[in-house]
Amino acid sequence: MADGSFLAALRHDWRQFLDTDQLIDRLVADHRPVDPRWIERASLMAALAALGVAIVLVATIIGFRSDIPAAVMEGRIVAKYGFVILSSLVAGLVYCRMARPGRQLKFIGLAYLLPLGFIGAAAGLAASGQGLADIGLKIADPNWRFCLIFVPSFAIIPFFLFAAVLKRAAPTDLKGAGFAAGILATSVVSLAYASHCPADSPLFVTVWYPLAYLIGGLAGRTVAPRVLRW
Amino acid sequence: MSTRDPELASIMAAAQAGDAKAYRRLLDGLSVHLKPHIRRLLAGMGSNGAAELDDILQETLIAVHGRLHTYDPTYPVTAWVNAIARYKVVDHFRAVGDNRRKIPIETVESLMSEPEAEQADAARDVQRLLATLPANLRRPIEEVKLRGLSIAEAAHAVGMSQAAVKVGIHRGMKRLIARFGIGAASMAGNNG
Repeated sequence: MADGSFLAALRHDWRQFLDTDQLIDRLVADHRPVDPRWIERASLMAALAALGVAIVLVATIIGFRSDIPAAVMEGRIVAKYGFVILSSLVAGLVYCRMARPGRQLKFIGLAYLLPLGFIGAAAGLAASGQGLADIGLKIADPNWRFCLIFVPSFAIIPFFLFAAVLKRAAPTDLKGAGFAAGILATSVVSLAYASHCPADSPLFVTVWYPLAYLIGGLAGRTVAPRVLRW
Repeated sequence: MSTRDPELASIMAAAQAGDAKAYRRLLDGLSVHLKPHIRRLLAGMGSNGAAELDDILQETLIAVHGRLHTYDPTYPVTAWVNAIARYKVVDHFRAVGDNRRKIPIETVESLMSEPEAEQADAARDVQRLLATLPANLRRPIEEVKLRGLSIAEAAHAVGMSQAAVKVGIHRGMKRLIARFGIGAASMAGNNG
């Protein structure tokens, strides 16, 4: 990848002195091998760092549940973990694609429907045979407020990690890329937050987790034109 | 995808691996490819582009240099560089404080079917002629004479009535012939 200071100096020079052939000479002289998989590798590193940040924030501020092993053994938490893992994978793929030129979220973003379909199906199963009152109680679990507050706020640092990678990539749909970075940041945070959140019902997860992601996505979309411009 | 893409893709692969000769061929090829493309984008934004073309071409080449690692081998090289050029055109107008200009989606889509490099000079000349016309005369000519659409399709594309498209073509060609003589007349004959 070209050095930023070289490019800055070049911009200064060519505006004053260089014609296109001279510019090409300078660019060729500075040429070095590049890694075509840089975006994927850098994104993976950013995701691991973001997960580390999320784990530290959850552990130090709100703490992890003590009954996780039992919940896993009983299968109560499988749909929730499945959703947050699937969401993170899909969000990561969308994010990596949005980091390249010419990609538009309105096409690639359809992939977000995959985890939503998964948790929607799980919610459908959970709702079968239950009365509306029971379903309403599970959805309106008081933990929804914490979900909407902690997941987006813990995602601020991860968002800027992902934004830093995008800044060195070449997104041309800045708002779309910012949205994708916000969704990925909140998804990765939810990997850690899911082990704090005491609400395991797929009905709860179907409503509030995607809403938390959406807050992160919209915030990312809002700041993207200023943060991601290259 | 341009028919030059398979060739450009192999040059790009060598350039990404660090081959300086391939990199020079890539930049030379892209600069030839980009000129008419950027001119078309500028025309689409209502600019004649004369003052901005070289600046944006060079900004795009610098961006290509700094973002070479973002090229995905499964994607056409021309689509990749066209997207960068489009971004740089929009960024250029944003930088000079002109946020009102938007590149229409039809223009963006047309970027995927770039004219071949061999046609670049002819395309440039046609664009130069057309750039002298107001949009209500230029657009019908572009859609019907250059893109080959029918009157009905062109009317739909430019948001005008069919009668207005016909009148626009007639008046536009008449004005070009009056202004540029035989050159415009032959353009009408060749493309019509």
